[in-house]
Amino acid sequence: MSPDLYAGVSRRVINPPIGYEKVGLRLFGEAVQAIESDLTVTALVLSNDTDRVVIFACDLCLIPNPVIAEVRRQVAEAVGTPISHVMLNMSHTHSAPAFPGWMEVDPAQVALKQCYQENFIRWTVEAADEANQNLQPARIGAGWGQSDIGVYRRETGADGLDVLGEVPDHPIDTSVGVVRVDDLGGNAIAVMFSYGCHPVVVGPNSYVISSDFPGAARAVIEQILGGTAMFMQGCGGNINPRVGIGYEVDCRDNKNRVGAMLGGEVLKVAAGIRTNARQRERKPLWNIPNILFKPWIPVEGETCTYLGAVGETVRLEFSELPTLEQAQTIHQQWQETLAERQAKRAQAWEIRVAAKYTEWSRKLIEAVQDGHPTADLVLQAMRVNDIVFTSLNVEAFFETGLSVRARSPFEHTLVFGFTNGSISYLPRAEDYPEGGWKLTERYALPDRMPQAYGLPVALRPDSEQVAVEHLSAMIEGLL
Amino acid sequence: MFGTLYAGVSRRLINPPLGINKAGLRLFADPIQAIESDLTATVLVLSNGDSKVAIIACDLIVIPTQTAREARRRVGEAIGTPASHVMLNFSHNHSSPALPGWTVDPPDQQRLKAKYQEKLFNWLVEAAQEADRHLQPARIGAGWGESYIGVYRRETGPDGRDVLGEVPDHPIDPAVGVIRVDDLEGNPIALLFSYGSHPVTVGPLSMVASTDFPGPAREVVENSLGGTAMFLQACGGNINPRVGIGYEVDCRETKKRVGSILGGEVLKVAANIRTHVQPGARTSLGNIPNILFTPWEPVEGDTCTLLGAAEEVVPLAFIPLPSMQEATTIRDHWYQLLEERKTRGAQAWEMRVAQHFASWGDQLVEAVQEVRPTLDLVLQVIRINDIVLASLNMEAFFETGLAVKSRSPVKHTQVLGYTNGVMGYLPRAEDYPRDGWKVNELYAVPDLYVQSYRLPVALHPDSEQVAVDRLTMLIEQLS
Repeated sequence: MSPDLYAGVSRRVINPPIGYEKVGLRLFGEAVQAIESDLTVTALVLSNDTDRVVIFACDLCLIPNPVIAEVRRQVAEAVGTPISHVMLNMSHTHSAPAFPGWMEVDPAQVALKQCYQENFIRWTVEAADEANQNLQPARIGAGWGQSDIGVYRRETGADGLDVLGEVPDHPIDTSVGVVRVDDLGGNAIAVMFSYGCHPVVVGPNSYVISSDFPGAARAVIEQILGGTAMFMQGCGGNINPRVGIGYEVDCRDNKNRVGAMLGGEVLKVAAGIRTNARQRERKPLWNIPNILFKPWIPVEGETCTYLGAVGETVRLEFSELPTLEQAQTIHQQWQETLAERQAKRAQAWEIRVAAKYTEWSRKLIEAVQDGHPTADLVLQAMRVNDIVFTSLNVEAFFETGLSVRARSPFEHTLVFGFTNGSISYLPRAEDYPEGGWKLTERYALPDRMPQAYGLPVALRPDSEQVAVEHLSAMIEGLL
Repeated sequence: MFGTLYAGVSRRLINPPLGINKAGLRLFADPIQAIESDLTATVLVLSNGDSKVAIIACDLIVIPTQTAREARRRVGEAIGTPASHVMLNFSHNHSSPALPGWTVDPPDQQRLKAKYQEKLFNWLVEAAQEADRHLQPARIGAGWGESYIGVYRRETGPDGRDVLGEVPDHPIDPAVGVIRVDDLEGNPIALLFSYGSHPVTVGPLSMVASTDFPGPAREVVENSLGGTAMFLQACGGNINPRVGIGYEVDCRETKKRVGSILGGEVLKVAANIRTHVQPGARTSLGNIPNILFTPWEPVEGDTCTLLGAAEEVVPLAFIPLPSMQEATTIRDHWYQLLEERKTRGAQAWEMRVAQHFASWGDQLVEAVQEVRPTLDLVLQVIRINDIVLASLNMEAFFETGLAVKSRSPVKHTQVLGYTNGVMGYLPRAEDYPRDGWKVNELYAVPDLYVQSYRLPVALHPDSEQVAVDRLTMLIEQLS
């Protein structure tokens, strides 16, 4: 381990072309009409000469696993580090482009998406390469804030059925994790912050590309503190903004306000983190009695006491599969539904859903034929001095983040969902429907709709516990 | 009283000439060598057609009530409103010039200060007139935040004596009062925020004029939300910054960080105050089931339900004065000490103290001749809709602010010390020494150091209670 920490940061704009479809299903599936705010990918490289990690914060909703794998491979090669040392977090902004494979209806879209995917990979590798070239001596510090811009979103309606709404009094994880990477003069190189909440303040009636509230929050920090701000999505799988999913066509005012509320909290915490100076014992000034001062003195010593990363892939089991005959029937039904909806010119969202479910049911048949399908849960843990970044490639719930943090021996443990891909939601066992998840049920909540992610059926209810156990063990391994 | 609210804002730089002395005694009394950050006076005029009030936030430390009265008279006359409707708050930044009357000045300082004071009057009038010309239809809203940048400062040393230090665990009033004045589209015209703490992060070794932390806090708000930000000093008489009084020559980094911490909190609160829209009834989008949205609806109706101001001057009694013989002995002692210190070439602060105390001795003798001197406590209340600004011309303690707020029938009651003059500290009865304040004692904490304001002796210990009672009654008059 070298005693010196180095840090470099770089950013690329990753806007899609106008006319490009967003990544929605019932909502947010329209073609983009304008760039409301730039989407970006920001790379932070941290190194101590012997080890090197790369952390990306990316304004996208979902990136397919093979694309993520390719990005991580190319980045690792470009900066000379193992793939396990490359972490790519998605803000999960819903005003973002879809990648190939999300919804293949229009051939023109397929070509656009293929081109965008290639550009995205190139931009990301370029950003990492540039950040690596920008490496300079650095210090790192962390702190925590609180924000209640998020709200628990699984509401029970008057009829006893779930609604995607809000439960204002339900507990959430209000914590805002803040990591400040400074040059040796204490000037910010990068300010990373994490919070768990769906970026859907810019709503489905806004046919725009938008970084949503994370972009507005970053702007606050960069304008006031300098450096490059990075938003890392935490465990916001069951959290929506307290202001709700945007309803209006023009949601900019709300986006800026919610971003300012989060950015204000980050600013408070980041301004209080001093990496280059500390206060020494108190003393008087001249011979004036009874007035005590606290002079600042420079921080000395090693800037890197630990830098490392580990990755693990865990195979998650699914709930019971249907018979082949049942699966084929389901597929046939969705094919017919799609045809019907197209013929009667149903609403766009109805056609999108039918198309998505038709594709899902085809995969369901494949899964049944496979006999024992599994889903790859990609876990990762990075440690920089006394700060740990841990991640899962799922839409993790806030309770999962709290569990991992509670079990971590490191005070500054940040838990990110939506990282290195996103294969599905990861509800806890108690979040499953009473009586078990049912294949033929139409659930209101996205976290009970594995079909949207193309999973054959729901993951086994113990999957979340498996994730917590493995992730905690990985963190322990970094001690 | 009902009708339309109008608001206008304007700002003037009020930088002093270099070479003018600051308003300190033991500390902060050296001549200003540079302008570290622009001192400003910002005027907000609010009107409903019938009544008009002017609220002025001013980057100065102290000003005699008599001088403030003249400034208020001129401003009131310029915009056509009574002086009782003009509120002049001082941020109490210690890196600012003294005005005539603070201490015994040589002729060159007298000239500088007299000239600066006249300019200040002109700037205030100009800003008020400009704000008045800018009046436009407006809406107003308020909210509260919390900040712990302040710390209780009366510490007990190991010898049982007071120290001007810090008691980190002692309660304080962390409230940050925020008022947002918007145009009818919800864009900020002015953002007022109050907090109680001495602005002394820029310390006595920095011989500069500086806004101290309120300046960067304002910048956070203005750069992030727009509009003009105004800091109003609350009841920070016994509160210092948690980072301590600045010790270094260059305190800019700490000033900016503390300002960012406060500004971040203001930003959070202000961003969430919506004056032009309110949440409507929840609804679904098209025929998509089980997803609920909350559209925003315009706020309608009167924008001004109440606008008024009231003022009262209460003569405060002092504790029993010494006999004439005692008073002359004290005066003579200080003149003798002054000569001794001159002879031995004492440190500058020792000379200042002796000079100031000798002058105080003169006033003590005069007070004894007067038999029953009193001090004019100037109380003022401004009410706009459901918001109250209540003020005192004293260095009020945080407990006084809490007491008034707890008794006010108006939810958004902000209590401001340092307003319409600053005539001394206003400790509560329990803040007095157990065996009573003694005229011959040299106390460590400035709030017992009544000589600095050249009061003959301490105020009667029930003064604070009188202030709370009368200020509360004044608020009730406007309810």
